[in-house]
Amino acid sequence: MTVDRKEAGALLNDIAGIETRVRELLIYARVSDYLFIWGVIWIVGSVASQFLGVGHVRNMWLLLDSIGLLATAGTAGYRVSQRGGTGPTVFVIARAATSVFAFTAFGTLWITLTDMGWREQVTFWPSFIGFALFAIGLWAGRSIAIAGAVIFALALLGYAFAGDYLNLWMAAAGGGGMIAIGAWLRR
Amino acid sequence: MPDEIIHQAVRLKIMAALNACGARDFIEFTRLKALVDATDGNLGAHLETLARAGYIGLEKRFEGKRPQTRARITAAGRKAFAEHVAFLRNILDSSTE
Repeated sequence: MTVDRKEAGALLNDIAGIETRVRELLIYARVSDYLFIWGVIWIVGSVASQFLGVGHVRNMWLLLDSIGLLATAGTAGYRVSQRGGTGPTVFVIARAATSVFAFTAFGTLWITLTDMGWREQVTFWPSFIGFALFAIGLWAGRSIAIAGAVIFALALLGYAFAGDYLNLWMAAAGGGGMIAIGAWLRR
Repeated sequence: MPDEIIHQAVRLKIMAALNACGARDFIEFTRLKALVDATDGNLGAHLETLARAGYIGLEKRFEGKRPQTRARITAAGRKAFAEHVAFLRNILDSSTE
């Protein structure tokens, strides 16, 4: 069997194309895990916020965010152990937990410093997450960028038009949207 | 020398896809079919060839009530693929010198 330079180049190009596509799919599968987790938390929190008194909302979100943080860290650790990675799983768990904590702390800091009203607070998180996903998607894969842009746009639409039902809008559009996008990424 | 089992175009794509995954990651038959752009029968035959050579492992299971076949690369497959890629790179490098 002889292989000339042209054929070798074409085959190496095929290999590079397939590798890029598979890496994208693996990233999509991993991102979708976290979209499912936070989508459910978002729905529960937003629906409860619509009906709970103001005094209970902060504690409820604190509890839900803690559950989300633990679920994120646990999922990251489980995925690493499933992949048969060589690095210590505990570092991955710590890194995932720190990422969620830093993300939440950054948002909470600016909500507190700027004394946001409830509508702005409710809109801030999905728009923040949507924007972050968009930026990550520019590097990690086009579908994630599209998902981020959709979440961002839905958050702003809710802010403009959902009126007193903003929490319910965010439950459906934000939480439901994250779950739908997670399923779309796995298609 | 090229690895004649891996060198075939569809089998090379299958190996490239599986090689890009982690040691314990599987790729399902339907996803693999879309990745390498093959028909059911064609992909099935190539997977069997690679499995007989010990380059991949095949697992048949049920996802709910639907039968599902999935594949993952073996250590021998990863080594053979790396050697074949090195062979192809060598052709490019030697002909540009």
